[in-house]
Amino acid sequence: MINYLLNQLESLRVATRRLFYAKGATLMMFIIIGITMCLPMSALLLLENVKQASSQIEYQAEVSVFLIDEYTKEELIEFEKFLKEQPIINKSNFEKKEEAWLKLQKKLAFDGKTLIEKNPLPDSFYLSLSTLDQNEINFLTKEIQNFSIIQDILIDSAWVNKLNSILNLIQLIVNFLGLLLLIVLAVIIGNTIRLQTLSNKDEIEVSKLIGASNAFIRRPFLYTGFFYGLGGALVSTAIIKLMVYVFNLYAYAIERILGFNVILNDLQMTHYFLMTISCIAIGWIASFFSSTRSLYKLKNNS
Amino acid sequence: MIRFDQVYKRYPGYQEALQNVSFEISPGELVFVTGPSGAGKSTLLKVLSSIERPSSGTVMFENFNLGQAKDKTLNQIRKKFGMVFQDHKLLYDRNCFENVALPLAVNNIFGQEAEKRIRAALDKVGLLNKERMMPITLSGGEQQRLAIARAIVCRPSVITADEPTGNLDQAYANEIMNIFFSFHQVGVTVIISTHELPNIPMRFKHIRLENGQLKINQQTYDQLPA
Repeated sequence: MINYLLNQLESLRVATRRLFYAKGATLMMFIIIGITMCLPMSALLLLENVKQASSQIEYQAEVSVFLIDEYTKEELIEFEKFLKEQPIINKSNFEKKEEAWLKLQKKLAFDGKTLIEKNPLPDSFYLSLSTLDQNEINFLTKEIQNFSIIQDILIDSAWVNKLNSILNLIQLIVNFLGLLLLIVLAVIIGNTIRLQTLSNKDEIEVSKLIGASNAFIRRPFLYTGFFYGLGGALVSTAIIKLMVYVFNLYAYAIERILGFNVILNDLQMTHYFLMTISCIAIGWIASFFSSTRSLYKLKNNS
Repeated sequence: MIRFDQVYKRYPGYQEALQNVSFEISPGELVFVTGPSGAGKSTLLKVLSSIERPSSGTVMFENFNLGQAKDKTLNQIRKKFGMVFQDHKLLYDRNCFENVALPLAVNNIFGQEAEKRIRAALDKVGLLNKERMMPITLSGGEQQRLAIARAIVCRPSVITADEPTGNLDQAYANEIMNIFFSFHQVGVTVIISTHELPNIPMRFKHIRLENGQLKINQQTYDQLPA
């Protein structure tokens, strides 16, 4: 076990020495990977911010419940009791048809009596919901419809649903872009490792001659791939954080002038963690396949 | 210990490098493989030290059939050989100490034990005072001695040397040969390929190849210099 760990440590030492030996190239690789990862991460940053903004809008969404013309007081009390028991209803506001009619006339600046003989508006409830989960809303509306005093229900969340659909589509595009760029990273890292195996051809050849296994020869390259992924992820994190910082620096100035908030919220630690894990995994996998292929080629050419 | 039985080795597109070669080498023997260029000496050493597999025939090392052994087994067998090449095959981006350390790393030997062995090997070939120097700064003879240090550091039971003195002048060549003889004297099997048989006061086996065929396979006794 100790020997195994010492062997790993030796491979780690060889890998770090190779990276340090080619400082310029190593730094360049970190930057390339960092910038490549920055593209989907910036898109994710924007998406997350738009999502946060839309979630604030969601809580203001309302459901309008219109009642029939004739109902008893008991029926109304029973319905009000039901509304109070619903956890997803933040606030319910009952409006008599007379009040609504007056409001409408005031708003539209006309005298209803001269145009329309009878008040066309029904008594109504305006419900503010704490969610826009479609399933929860559907369930609530079905429950409401069971009451005999209900004439109609209007959910004014359709536009938020549309926004959510667009955000989901953008999320899909970001995921796809991320996947594509991970493939690009795999190709870049794989190619670099391939070049490294060529520049370390003598070492590989000598190691093979003295009985080294493929795993032994491959191990330093795997660590190199690991470091490429880690370095790239750190560069990407630094760029995103810098981007958020610089944006917010100017956003404060804009806020002072325009009077509204345009702060960009940073990504969560989970996002950075997942990005780092993805970069390391890609570095490792690309190095594995590239070094295995190179070893096979060197074996066949020797 | 090592047995070749009707061994053939063919490379695609070339004629047979070894044809029907049979011989045996006992433990602790000193063996010279001679022959002109292209006779098959290097091929024989490669097949013998399990770097390459025979095309047909049987090559036995201890109880292993090298032609049929798995790659993993061959890696293990190869660790029992210390190999020296005419072109040294040193790593020029590593110093002498690190070059000798490579086989130990392959054999999972690290730390103080590794340092002790490396210094002992370098001392044996007279390079202890140059352990931190880069190979490129050494003379041809010193580079070959460094290659020998690397070959012996894992205490192999067999040392193979493919024309180890080919690029050296006579004084360096004698120095290198004396190092090999000292290993033979402590019981290590030493197999050296060379163009011509050296004139040495020692008992050894002579294997001569010509065009891949075995021409001489005999024990030579106490050939004293004239």
